[in-house]
Amino acid sequence: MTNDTSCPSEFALERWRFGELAASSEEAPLVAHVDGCPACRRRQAELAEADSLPPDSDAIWSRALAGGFVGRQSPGLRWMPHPLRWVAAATLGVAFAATLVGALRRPNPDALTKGEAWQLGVIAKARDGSLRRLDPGAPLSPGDRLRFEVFTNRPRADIALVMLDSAGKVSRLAPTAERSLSIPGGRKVLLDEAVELDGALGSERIVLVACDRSMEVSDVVASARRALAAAHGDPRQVDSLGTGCHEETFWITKVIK
Amino acid sequence: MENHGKPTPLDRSDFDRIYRRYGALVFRRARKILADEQCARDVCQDVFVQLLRTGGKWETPSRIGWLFRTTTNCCLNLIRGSRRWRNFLRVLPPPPVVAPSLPTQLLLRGIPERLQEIAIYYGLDQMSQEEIALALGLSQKTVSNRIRELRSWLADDETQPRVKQK
Repeated sequence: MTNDTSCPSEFALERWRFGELAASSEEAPLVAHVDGCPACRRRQAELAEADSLPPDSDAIWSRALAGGFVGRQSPGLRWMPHPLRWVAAATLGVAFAATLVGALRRPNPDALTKGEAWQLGVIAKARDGSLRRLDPGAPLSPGDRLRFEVFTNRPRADIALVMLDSAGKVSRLAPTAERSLSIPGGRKVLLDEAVELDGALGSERIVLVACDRSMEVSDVVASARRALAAAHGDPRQVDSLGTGCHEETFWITKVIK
Repeated sequence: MENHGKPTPLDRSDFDRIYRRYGALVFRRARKILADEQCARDVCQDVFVQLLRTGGKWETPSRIGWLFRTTTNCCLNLIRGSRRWRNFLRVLPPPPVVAPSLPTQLLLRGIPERLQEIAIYYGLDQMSQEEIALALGLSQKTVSNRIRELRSWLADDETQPRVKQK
């Protein structure tokens, strides 16, 4: 909370948004406050909105390279005997040239990372039937039903949605089919799937995985399980599911109302 | 990224992931302190270069706290550098160079350097003592002492001109 008002500081809101307060004693009072404070809800939405800024990391990486903070050589080459390094380097060179030629031919060479916009929206239907579009970190209750809305400015993308909870469980949200769902770009797509929240309380992390190729949803779930296990079951400590695809996170908080 | 064994250096994809996740937060904070888009971009770069400098050992009780603190320090360095630059320019012949507008610079004018960081968290960010302690990695008692020092400095500063007028 701030030092002289009852509204939480931006620091607290950011920690909450990024899941650092999940399951802590600070979370419940903050959630209760934000839920009843239109100004804080507006601030929270503004903070989330600013995340669509497309930062460019190339210049930073170049500076780090120049400063020697990151290695130019791939770790895989370091341990190789000397003659093998040349073979590996030649192979990599050929692979790089092939990739470059392929990239120049393709209209969209990047794997869903640069200069693109993604939005994951969540719509909740409470037990009393009321509908609301959620802000990140929004408090929900067991029994609430969720639906999901996805937007991309890519011409088309393949997506899957999973949920990681504080109890160390991974749930598949969408699609229910075996393979990922292909969606068109340029408009919001409301997914058919709906999910009802179970009785476990605390923070839950909804992750949209988006790729330029079709995926097995079970592979996405397996990646999420591995990532969550590596983070000792704490969704806050998961940086990435390791799918090699673009990922967007949306946090919700389950509380008893 | 949270390492429990020997830390491994960040590779490009790890870094891109972290930058996509936290880049906007850092940029927004730098812009809030500096009120200058281009300076904020420069600070954003500095913060993430510092992150890469840790060599994958980004171990902290609060990543948001680390990012807040590092961004604040980078902004303060820029402000102090700009002040030194202006002092340097003062002794040079014209043409004068106009420094970017930095409102926080006005807020911090005259405040001793050791208290400027606290002044930002306490005054600009309205953070609680617990939050400041977390972001700075200090005890709450130390933070409380520094806030008291800041307040007493501000009180003295306020009374000083009146004393001079008498």
